[in-house]
Amino acid sequence: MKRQLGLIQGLVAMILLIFVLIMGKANFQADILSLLPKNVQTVVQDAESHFFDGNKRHVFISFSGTDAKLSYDQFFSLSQNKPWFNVKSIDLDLEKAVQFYLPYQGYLLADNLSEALTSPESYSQFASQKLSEVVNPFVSASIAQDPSLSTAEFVEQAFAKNDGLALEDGRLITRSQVKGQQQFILIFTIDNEALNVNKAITVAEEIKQVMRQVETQYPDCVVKYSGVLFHTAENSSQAQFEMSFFGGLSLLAMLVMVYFVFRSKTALLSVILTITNAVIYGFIALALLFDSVHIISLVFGVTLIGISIDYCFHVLTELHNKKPSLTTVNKSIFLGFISTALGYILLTLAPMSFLSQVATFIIAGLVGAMVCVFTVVPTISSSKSGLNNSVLDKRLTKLINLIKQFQDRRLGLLIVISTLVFVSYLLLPIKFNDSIADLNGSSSTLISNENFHQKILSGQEVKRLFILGSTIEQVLQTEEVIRTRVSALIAETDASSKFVSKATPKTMPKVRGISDWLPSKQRQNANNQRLKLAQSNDVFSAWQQATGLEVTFNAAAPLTYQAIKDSVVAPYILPFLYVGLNNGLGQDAENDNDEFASLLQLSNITTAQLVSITEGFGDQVIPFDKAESISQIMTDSRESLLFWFMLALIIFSLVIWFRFGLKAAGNHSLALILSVSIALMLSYLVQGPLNLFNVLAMMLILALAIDYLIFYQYRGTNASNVLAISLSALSSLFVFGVLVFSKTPAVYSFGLTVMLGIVSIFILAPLSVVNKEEQ
Amino acid sequence: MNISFTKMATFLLAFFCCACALFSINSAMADNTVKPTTLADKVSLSVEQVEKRLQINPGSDVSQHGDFIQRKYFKVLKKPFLSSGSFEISNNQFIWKTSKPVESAIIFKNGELYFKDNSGSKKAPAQASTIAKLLQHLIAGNFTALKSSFLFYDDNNTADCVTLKPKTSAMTAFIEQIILCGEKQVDEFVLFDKNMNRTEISISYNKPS
Repeated sequence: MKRQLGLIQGLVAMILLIFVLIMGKANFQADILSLLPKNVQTVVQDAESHFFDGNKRHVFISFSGTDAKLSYDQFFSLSQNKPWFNVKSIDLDLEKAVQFYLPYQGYLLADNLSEALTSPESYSQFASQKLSEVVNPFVSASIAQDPSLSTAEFVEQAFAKNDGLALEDGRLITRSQVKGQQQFILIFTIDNEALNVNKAITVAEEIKQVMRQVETQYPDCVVKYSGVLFHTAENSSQAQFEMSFFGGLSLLAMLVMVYFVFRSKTALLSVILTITNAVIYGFIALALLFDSVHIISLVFGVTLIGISIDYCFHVLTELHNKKPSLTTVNKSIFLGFISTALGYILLTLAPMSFLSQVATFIIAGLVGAMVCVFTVVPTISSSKSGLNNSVLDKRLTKLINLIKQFQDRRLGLLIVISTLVFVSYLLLPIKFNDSIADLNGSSSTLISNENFHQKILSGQEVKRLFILGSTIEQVLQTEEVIRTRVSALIAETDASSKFVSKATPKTMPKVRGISDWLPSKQRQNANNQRLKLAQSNDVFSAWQQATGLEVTFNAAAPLTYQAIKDSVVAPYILPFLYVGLNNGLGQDAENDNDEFASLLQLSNITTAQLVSITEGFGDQVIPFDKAESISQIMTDSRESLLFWFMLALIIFSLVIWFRFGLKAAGNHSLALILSVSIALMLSYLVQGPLNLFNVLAMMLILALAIDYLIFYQYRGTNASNVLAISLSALSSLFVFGVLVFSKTPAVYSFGLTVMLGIVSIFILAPLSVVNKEEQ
Repeated sequence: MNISFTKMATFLLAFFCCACALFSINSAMADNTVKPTTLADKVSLSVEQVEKRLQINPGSDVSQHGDFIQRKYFKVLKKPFLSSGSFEISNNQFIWKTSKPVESAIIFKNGELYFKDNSGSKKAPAQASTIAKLLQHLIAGNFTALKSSFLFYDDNNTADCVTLKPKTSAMTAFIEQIILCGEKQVDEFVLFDKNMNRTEISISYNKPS
């Protein structure tokens, strides 16, 4: 009956697996950015996606050196026909931009012109200088309709602030030299599909191949690459390697161990079936419950092998007893499963969504393992003879004697260990480092390329601000107040550096935002008044007389967002403005529930200056620093995990108290606290400052340790139980031990702490057992 | 006093120029209209053909300095706008310094671009980098460098002129056509922008000291 049940479940699982594979429900991804914790504030999160998600598909290639231009062209021509090469031709239609703004003359006023409106002389100087320029397309396109040149100057200023790159003969170049060299930059966009796990590896390799060709032809040229694509490719190939290598290695080690201990093919078959069933269950659950599975989840998921095999060991060792009692074993397995599942559910409290995938994979996998050991394993491995392994018997007897000796000196040992742990924590307080880099296993070359490109594209000391408001007008006005504060800062810097050296254009604070292109209505009305005042003060009269042109400001209404959102300059505004309309009335009818957010970029501003610039805005202005906000979220999660750990410990103690008495509850809790403390301290000594993943490992140690404690408490220190627990510990050591060879810092930290925790609990668990007479 | 009509006219002209200078506006008297070249059906010239036509030696020393006079003809202005100044050019440096009617300068040195105006502030306008490099190559007669952005054609009217037609979108954003004239060195060029306003620049070279 059991065998039939086992076979039926196996069959159903296989059918489901085939269904999942055929229906293409198993999608994998390795986008490293998707691992990052999400911000809790919805508007900020939505705005962040709006501002930055498009960048995921960008690939950045830079060329420097004597043949930079030639290698740029060579790369371009070699890539031109490749399916992944999509370059938007950069057409600066200045003429159309000027034409768009011309109907609003009189409402638009650039800072330079505003300063020149003080007298006819200063205005004439300003206008003469504009006309002296060899070519000024803004003046040329607008002087007939707007002789005041205010529209020309406004549009020119907006374009001038656009970015740190210049366009030269259709190629993007850095405006200033970086490391003494002019950099040529090629930016192209890949399809979303190219970010899929296997495709990313192929596309990244093809791009690198083109780069190698270029480098061979121009050996003096330095070509650098960056972009999410390369992170995805590196991380997914790394994860694929680690998954198959670690999984294969630990599986092999365990099979050797099983064969050494049980010396029977049926035991080997039982282990293989249990693991296979577990992996199939886990995989089906993942494919059905998640749209796409992150490859890092599967690297963490390798640990399933180590836990599921434990169940098999307990059943196998019991079956090899002379009087097997599977009911007690099954009961302990079930209780152990509940505790492990609870432990993994706690992982989902962390802000990274992939941990839900890890928990799902493990919990469903353990259900599969449990079903297999309850049904199939007892029927195929029903040998009631002993293990007939004299070497093993001798070692087991030695181990049991050692455990008994330890148990006799339990009090003394526990006091010594507790004191040692306590003193070590006093002398060496643990430090934490919640860096975003822990999530990334990318090569140092790629990371340094990325930093280099970031400096080129965004400049030094770039700070980003999210400006929030319930109307666009509010957002624009806030931007303008910040601009005024930055201008005051520039004036202050100029005044203080009068006798030293003036700030160069490179070091001058700069502000870029949507208000460069769309001033607030309040500002536009003020501009209009200022221009009309200048007109009534005859500021333009000399200019009019000299040119024969007539300066008038007759625009009917100021420029609005509604007008600009479908215009030729929309591409300069919309990517930096998030519009969240909650009223369903459309953008022409804003209401109080609507949310708007703009991205304001400040460069050459220090953190201290930023604090004073953003003072007094409250929640309207949010400094945005992705790395810092992720670190903050990781710190918060780490702290909240410690709270949940304490809660889980209390619940476990209460259950043990209820089931086995107060003394057992006290002993078990102490064993748990000590093993976790030892694991963390030793990890700190080996690894240096700890991170969120060491704390996550703590949760898993708790789940695994509860298993050992329950098994000891239920089954005592009899030979089969000690053997099963020893085998469990060894298998877990194999599985978690190999993770310390991972190149992904998160996986390494997790593996290290769990491994050390298992060793600690393996020693401490027997010390905490309370005999029935003691209860 | 016997003042001829010509002298009187000259005096009035000088007076008019001074009055304009007072308003910081310089104007030239006449608009000797230079028409853009019609390029339909024309076959473009190679760099060698252009160099031969203008008798420019490509290997010659590009280190030069001199003065320029710029006349800007806007369709809406009745008179051209006049400005003048000096320039310096070498392999890794280019300075275009306007001294009249107001002082300003574009300095392109070791790949870095600076812009100075009468207030002394430094800011590089969006198109400054492209224009600075263009001027540098035009004055130096560096047609090899210009080849990537322009096609060359002969000029209908004069034997020692060539017409440059931009072929990249980056250049067409500013310029419709350039007519460049000279013998052994570049003496004059006329830039037509997209609105067919034109800028005439005459160059005079200082003798090497």
